[in-house]
Amino acid sequence: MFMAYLLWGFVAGCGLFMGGASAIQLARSGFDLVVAANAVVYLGCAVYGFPRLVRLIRK
Amino acid sequence: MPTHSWFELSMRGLHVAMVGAWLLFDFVVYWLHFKIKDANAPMDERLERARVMHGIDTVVAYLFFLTLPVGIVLCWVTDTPLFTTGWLNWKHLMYGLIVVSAIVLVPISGTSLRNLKAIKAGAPNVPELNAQIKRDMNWAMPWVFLIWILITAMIVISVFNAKCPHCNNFILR
Repeated sequence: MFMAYLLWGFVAGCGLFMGGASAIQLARSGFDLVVAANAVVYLGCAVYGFPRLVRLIRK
Repeated sequence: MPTHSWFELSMRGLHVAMVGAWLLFDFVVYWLHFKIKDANAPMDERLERARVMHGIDTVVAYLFFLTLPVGIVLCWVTDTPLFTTGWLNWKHLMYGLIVVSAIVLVPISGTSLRNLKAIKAGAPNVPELNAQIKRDMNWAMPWVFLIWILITAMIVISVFNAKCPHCNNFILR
């Protein structure tokens, strides 16, 4: 159970942190394909992981 | 050597060691999986290997989780803001793809140990449980290979962009 919390917490947290950082960098320095790909992948992870983390906590 | 450099050097060493151990343990898990999915192998041996594989997988998971924070601390120590360096952006993207692979692998990670324990306990549907182990392990393989390719690419990128902390020149270029 601890591993599930750790995994979904990590997916949501790391997705939010890295996705947020790449989005901020895009806003500051203009478009860059690799940074944009980072934002898509990490924010996608956050969007996918966050509901699962919430469901796990509420269970 | 100043304290800052010692800390930076330690973090670099830790980062490298973690990625090296991650890849090495992944190879061990790969080697173990052949016997586990072989329905003709002795039951006790399969179960023992599944237990070992599960333990190593847990260590791999911790290494995977800790690699990113250690890398972020390294960025902070070397005054390198995230997403401002081309090669680092590629590394972050590859790590993100590994996170995606991990999400795919999670639902099938416990199948072998769970099913083998059920078979050992006398479950009636042994062929079905064995087929499930084989199917899940074969489904995981492309994702495992993708992770290896990404880790190897990340190591190569890092090695060729490593700079001397004193003279700031590329070490291998």
